[in-house]
Amino acid sequence: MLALWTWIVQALFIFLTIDSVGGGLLKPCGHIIPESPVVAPNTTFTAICVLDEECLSEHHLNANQIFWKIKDTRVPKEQYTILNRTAASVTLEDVSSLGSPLTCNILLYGQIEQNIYGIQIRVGWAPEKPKNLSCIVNGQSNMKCQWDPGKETHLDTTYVLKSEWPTRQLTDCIPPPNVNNSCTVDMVVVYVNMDVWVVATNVLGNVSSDRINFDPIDIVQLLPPYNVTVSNSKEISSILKVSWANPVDKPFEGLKYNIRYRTKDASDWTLIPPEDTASTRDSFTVQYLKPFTEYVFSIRCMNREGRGFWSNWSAESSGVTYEAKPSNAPSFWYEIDPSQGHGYRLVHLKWKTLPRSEANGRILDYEVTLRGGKTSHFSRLINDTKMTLNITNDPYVASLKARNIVGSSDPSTLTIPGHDFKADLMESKCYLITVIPVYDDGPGSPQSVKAYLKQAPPSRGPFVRTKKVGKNEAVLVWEHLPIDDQNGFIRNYTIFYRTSSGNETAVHVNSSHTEYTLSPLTSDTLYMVRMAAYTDEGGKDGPEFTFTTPKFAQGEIEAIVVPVCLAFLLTTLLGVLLCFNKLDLIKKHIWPNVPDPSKSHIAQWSPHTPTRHNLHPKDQMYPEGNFTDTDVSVVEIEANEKKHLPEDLKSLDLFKKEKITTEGHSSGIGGSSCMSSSRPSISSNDESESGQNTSSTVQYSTVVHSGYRHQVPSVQVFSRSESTQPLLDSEERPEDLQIVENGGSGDGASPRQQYFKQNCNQDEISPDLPHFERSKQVSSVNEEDFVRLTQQQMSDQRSQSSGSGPMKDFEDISAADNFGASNDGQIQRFETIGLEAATDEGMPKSYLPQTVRQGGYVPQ
Amino acid sequence: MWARLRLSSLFGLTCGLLWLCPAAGSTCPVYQTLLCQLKNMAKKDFLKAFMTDQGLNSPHLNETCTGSSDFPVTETLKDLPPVTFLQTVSQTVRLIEQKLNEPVFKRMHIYLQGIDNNVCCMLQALLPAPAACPAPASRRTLSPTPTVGSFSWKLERCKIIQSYQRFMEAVGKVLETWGASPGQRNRKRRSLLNVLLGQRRKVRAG
Repeated sequence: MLALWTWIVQALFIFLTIDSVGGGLLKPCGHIIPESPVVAPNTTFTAICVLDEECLSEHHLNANQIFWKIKDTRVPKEQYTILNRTAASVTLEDVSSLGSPLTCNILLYGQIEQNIYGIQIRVGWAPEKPKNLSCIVNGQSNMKCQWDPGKETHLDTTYVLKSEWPTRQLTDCIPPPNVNNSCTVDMVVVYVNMDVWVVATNVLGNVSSDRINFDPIDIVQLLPPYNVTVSNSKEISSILKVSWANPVDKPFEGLKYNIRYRTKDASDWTLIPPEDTASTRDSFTVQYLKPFTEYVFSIRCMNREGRGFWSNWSAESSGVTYEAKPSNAPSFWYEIDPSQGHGYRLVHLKWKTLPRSEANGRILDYEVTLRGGKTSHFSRLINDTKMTLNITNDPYVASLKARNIVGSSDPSTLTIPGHDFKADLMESKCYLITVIPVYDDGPGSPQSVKAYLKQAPPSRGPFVRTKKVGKNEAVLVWEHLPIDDQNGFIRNYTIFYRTSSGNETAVHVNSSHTEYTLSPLTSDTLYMVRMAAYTDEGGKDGPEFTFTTPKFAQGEIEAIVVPVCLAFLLTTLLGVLLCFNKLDLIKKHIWPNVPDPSKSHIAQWSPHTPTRHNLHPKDQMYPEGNFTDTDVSVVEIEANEKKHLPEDLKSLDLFKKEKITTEGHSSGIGGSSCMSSSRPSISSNDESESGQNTSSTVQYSTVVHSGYRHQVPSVQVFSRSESTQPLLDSEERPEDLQIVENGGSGDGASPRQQYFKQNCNQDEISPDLPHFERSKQVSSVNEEDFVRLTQQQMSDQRSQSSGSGPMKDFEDISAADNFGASNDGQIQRFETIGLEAATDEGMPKSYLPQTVRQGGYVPQ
Repeated sequence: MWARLRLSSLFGLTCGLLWLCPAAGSTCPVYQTLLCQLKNMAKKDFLKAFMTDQGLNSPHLNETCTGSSDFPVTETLKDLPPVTFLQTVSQTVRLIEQKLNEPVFKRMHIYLQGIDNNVCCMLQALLPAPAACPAPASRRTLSPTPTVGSFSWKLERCKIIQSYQRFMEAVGKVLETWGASPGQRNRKRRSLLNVLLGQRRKVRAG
């Protein structure tokens, strides 16, 4: 006991010593590192206790004397580590299960436990990565973001909502105290994409959520419309107008709405079609509502373009449609109290109140009207649903109307029979008997039946007629008899039909039918038909109706006629085609080509065949009478020949008369030509004959210079060629022509010959010009004959193979006649030209002007 | 260490000034989105709210607010090449930011920054080079402003906002002519030569 007191005193001494040295009441003799540890569960924790040197020296302490305690439990020495003389550590496994505090203690004098220092160990978790971050913009600029912070850390953890634009960092949003899962950003800017994320931080670390990127306009949720009111219309009881105020704080102008409504007692909403509310507005009129019915409305809105979210539904607002006149008359019945005497009786009228759906408003009163008896008309308004009248024994008709502020319902009518009511029923009249049960709370459903006191046969029979008549059938139709003519219940109909000579046939038809098809019938036959209606008491025939069945069925005639017509048309067509194909043959047989001997003439063929015909000399040898159109040239006769040479004119006239015949042997040759003549000329067509300028036409003409069938032509025949080529001066000048046409000079032939050659072969214009000049100087009486002879020779060179006898004779004559040796050179030259033209098929061909000697042929 | 810190600071500062280095890698939207966003932003009306808040909402005062604008008008903007146009918009918006750098305009201020952000992104979409966004305009020394809340202050700010509205209206009109892709933008834009000729004609006519 003494020792104990000694230890206490020593401890007190140490305490006071420490206190006096430190200047405080309590001065620890050491400390623990770390001071305020935060430890995650299931982790190892090491603490170090460091003793002060002052205490060590003063109390002769060292680290070996340190021991650790958690709460009141000493930590086993195996977990200690002596670091040095002043420090010792302890390692703890899973501190979370041990708890706090952890104290560093020392054993003084081997007996006294002295606490040196103590720490509070906090156990918690590092923050989890925030998840499910989402944001929503409320109104115009406030954006609220929410996230899931994860499990509780048990530590002080801060959450910061960070945001940025691509070009700048925005201000952080720090949640208010005790909020770790949401934050509201002020003044967010719409139409700017931004990144948002959350950073959670505590002493054990920090972690960021995933970033979300969005344009705030896409997450706008407006406040709902407010000040919603509902008003009705006195004019139209089926509409209600809903009005509201749009949210002011919104980042866009265009809105669309959802408007829903229901009756007050209903639970299901009806949504106005969204397409009707897809534009910005502040009111909407709902139609097709029930009158005098209370409806509840609610509205929400969002961006018209559909970006963002719908607002919440607005507060509900209700309105009542205006009244309409009652849609139905009230049910109405009566009771008669026959106890009254003296010709009067009490009638109790009763009716039920209309249901709300039929009243269409608040029923103000009922209007009861009574007709009949001594007072022909009686009307009274009453609020009750019953009424007692003291009326005479006469029959009455009572009517009842329900009235509201808008109007009256249709009347409900009731017949009150007289006191001595006895039905005066007649036979063969149809009566409708209706029985209405009357219960305490009103009438029941009525039941009716038709009845006759006594039936009779119908007054008349039905009128039957045909609806459609076919070859072998006829459709008959009729109408039901009027009720007044029936005289009973029609049980069936009977149709009688017959031909004019046949037996009558009867067909029974059910009374419900109004149509029947008679079949089979004979075609092209007259039928007589009548119909009888039968009641239980007998029948009555109707008038007779006649009809005739057609000979052919519908479409039968068409089926015959159409193929026949088609066959005829086809045959005709084939015949026409055949005629066209065999036209030449037919023509040859019908109109044989008979030559006219009196118009025979000699045609002289040009030595130069147009190139485009590509004729071989042999091809130009025309057999007698076998000219083709393309092989014959047109004859040209100078117009002014008449004046100077009557003989030639004579021959010209003859030639003109022969024109048609000549056409059989010659024709214009189409194609381009290098020759031209603007002078009027006589050729094988009338246009040329009338002096028309043929420069626009292209013709190569060659005279058919042989007789027909070995006959000698008696006229002069000319050849000409026309083309669009410009004329040479020599051709333009008439005097040159006169020279040609004047038989006294042979110069004319040579220049024209040169002209044609020049024009036909453009490349040779210049070389030929000297020939032209030179030939003008040639003076010979028979110059043109010479030329013609030359032409004929050249032509004959090509046509030798034809072996024409007369032509040979001409050659003989030519050899013995007019030409002297002096002309040989020229003859030779022309021959050369002709041969060149004939052999050079690529070269344009020329045709020499040809004349014949007056009154005869030039011997060749 | 110090040197490294200072270099990084300088780099960060440079990037910040040029707005080239978004701090956390947020990326710009595509051109079409930016165009749509800018068109919508150009429609924003700040004048009405300001007039209402400041009690200037009367026809007479509305006319008083209307004055000559220091900012480019439609005729000028539509003739600019796209990049120049966007740079002009950016500079103008920043100038307005400076003029309206008062707490009462905080909402409008951040809105203008949003416009500037989108313009910068649009420039990056148009220009291959990273130096797309114009450098922030140097802070101008603004003329002494009247006392905040005074009538003259209200009128002055009213004019600025009015000018801004007209400018953004012009910007919106120009943007309406831009195609849906960068390649189609500004089809109706005249050549520089035409612009100069047109201006010359105007001068002569005037």
